[in-house]
Amino acid sequence: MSTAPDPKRRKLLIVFGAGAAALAGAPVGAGLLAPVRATTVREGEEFVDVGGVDEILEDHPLRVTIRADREDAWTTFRNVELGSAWILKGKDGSVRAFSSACPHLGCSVDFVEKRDCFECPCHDAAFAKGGEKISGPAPRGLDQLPCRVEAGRVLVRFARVAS
Amino acid sequence: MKALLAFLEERTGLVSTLRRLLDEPPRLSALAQVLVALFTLQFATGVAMSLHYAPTATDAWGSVWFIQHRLPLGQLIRSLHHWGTSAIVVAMGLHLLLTALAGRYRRPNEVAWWLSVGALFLVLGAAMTGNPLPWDQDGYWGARVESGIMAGMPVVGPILERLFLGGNDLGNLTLTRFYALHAIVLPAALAGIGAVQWILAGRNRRVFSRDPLPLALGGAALVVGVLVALSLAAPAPLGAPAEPASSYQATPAWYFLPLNQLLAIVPPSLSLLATAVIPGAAVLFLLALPFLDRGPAPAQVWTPRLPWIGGMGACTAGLLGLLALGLRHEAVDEALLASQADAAEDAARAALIAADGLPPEGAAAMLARDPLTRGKRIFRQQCAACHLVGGEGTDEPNGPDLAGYLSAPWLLALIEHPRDPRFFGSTEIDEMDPYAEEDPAQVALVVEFLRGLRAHPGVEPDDLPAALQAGREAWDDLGCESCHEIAPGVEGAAPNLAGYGSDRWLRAFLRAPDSDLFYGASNEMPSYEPHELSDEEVEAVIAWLRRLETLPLAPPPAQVAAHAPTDPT
Repeated sequence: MSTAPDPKRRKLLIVFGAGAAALAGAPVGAGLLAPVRATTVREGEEFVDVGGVDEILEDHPLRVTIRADREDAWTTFRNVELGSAWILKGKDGSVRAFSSACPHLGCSVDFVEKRDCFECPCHDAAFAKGGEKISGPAPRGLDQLPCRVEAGRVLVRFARVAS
Repeated sequence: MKALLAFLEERTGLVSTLRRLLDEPPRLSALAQVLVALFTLQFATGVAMSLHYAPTATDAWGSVWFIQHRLPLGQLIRSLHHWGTSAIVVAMGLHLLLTALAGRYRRPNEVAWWLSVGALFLVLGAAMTGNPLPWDQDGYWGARVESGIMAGMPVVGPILERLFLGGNDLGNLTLTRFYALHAIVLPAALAGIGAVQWILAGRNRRVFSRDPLPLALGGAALVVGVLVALSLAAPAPLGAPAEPASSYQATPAWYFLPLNQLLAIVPPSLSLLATAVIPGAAVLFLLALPFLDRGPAPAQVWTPRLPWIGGMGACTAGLLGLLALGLRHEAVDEALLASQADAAEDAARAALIAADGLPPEGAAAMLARDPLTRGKRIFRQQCAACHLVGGEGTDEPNGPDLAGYLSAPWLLALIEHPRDPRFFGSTEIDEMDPYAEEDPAQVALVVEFLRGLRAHPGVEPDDLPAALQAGREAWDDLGCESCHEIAPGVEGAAPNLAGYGSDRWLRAFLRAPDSDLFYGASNEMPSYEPHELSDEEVEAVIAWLRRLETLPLAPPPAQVAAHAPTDPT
């Protein structure tokens, strides 16, 4: 049923087809690419009280749970567990906080009393009490979280430090 | 490029196939081309939304709100999808009508005709499963009504209802089911029909309607352009979140209105006639047309096909007539219009507070916890039985009209005309004298003074700020103090106005208007004790009263009389 080729017609169809594809692609692209710039989850933007500074033993890491609000797209969760952090009070009384996420692939590190160091259960990365990398695949030491002491309370700002 | 094309051609033959298609004469009518464009648009906008939509009863509304208010271009995308449905229904209806008029359902086109009829029902099915997806009031109550209609079908009703709802009631599984049908099953079926129609159009060229290419492409571009303009001018509505506990009158989409109207005009005992018999007969007639009206296709419009054309005409006229009736009814039904205005207010409020994030319990909980919305509901249930708002509400008002309550114009009108029906005229209370004849400057000072008291609950009169002392002098000069105490906790002949209009004053008043601090023995208002209204509920009512304060006063009675029709007796 083909008629003789007509270049003008072909061109019209191709232009129209390309236009239609672009038009149809626009909303799909808008939907697919929206996350590139949008902040869809907000959490722990404030400092969170994790306990009294006197309750922490010196030179002995303490695992604390961070509870704060979490905005997830259209839902706001109030005061939910966001994750945990390790608090270390030095012998001089200074307080530091470390993310419990291993800088290797994000598993949660434990403090192993026996060897007096942090260890990651996933790939055996090990970190000193002060967060410095000792051995294993981690690219760096434990990530420090913003932390300060106010009126005897330890305040930590949570961050989900991705590897 | 050439090498790539040659590679593709050698392996697949796609290039020459495409060339052949580009060169062949048009297969589609302009209307069919428009439909292809519309379905493409629905697919594209649907994909964009499906990337952000959550089909659960708690999250659906929030996710659609997110699409509408947070997703870049989201409102346009959703509006295109919304209006696209209407456009498809119109185009498909026209397509069926033109095909029938031209007798293009005749041999060998019977299958194409049946597929066209089937496609219209798949589209209506897609609309039926798509409209409830936002889980707003219209969507929820629309699905509720539809499930009721299905339950009423003979024999299979109860099973049909369960299959429709995905269980024994509307809920999460209704939404997952509707979503799967709307976004996967029905589009796939429609795409299948489209593909078969395309093949048939190539095979039975003689009996398919075709238009010149520029007309077909131009028509498609024009319709899409109109849709974009329409979507920008009138964005798709998002109602307030579904509230199963509310009483809401759903209004169906216009393309379901004829059926809805048919149901409204047949007597309830014959409702099966409207839900099954008449629509079923019409569909059977459409499907049977190729057997009723035989002969070569395409056919002359009139002779000798009068009965069949007449049948089509009757179906069309019936649909359009019912649609017109339904639209007229919607335009004049005052209860419906009032409920729609109310729903629009809820929707606007919900859209506003959603910006603070929905609670995990979902959109309905968000609205239920909103003091303003809650206050409005409680006001409806408790206060509106006696108090008018702007002259609207109960037929037996007993107490002040609360439009503008505590605002300066309201206080001024109250002081000048306390026995006006807008204030205490509807009650037994008439101890207060009208102050309309007094010095307006003095009265204005009193109004200002009363408004000022709000910021100072629990403050002794002598401790009030200097700015209020001029007002206090006017208050004393006009003799207000002889009945109304303004010292906290002191009883008088009329309500104590210390901290008048403050949250504290309103709280105490709502709890015990019959207290000797307020109306005492002449009180006619119920006391809202804690077992009747919790503290939170009282706060909600106060939030609503603050909202009423922003309204203009009801017109004075003289004006009402001037507008009212004169009584012939």
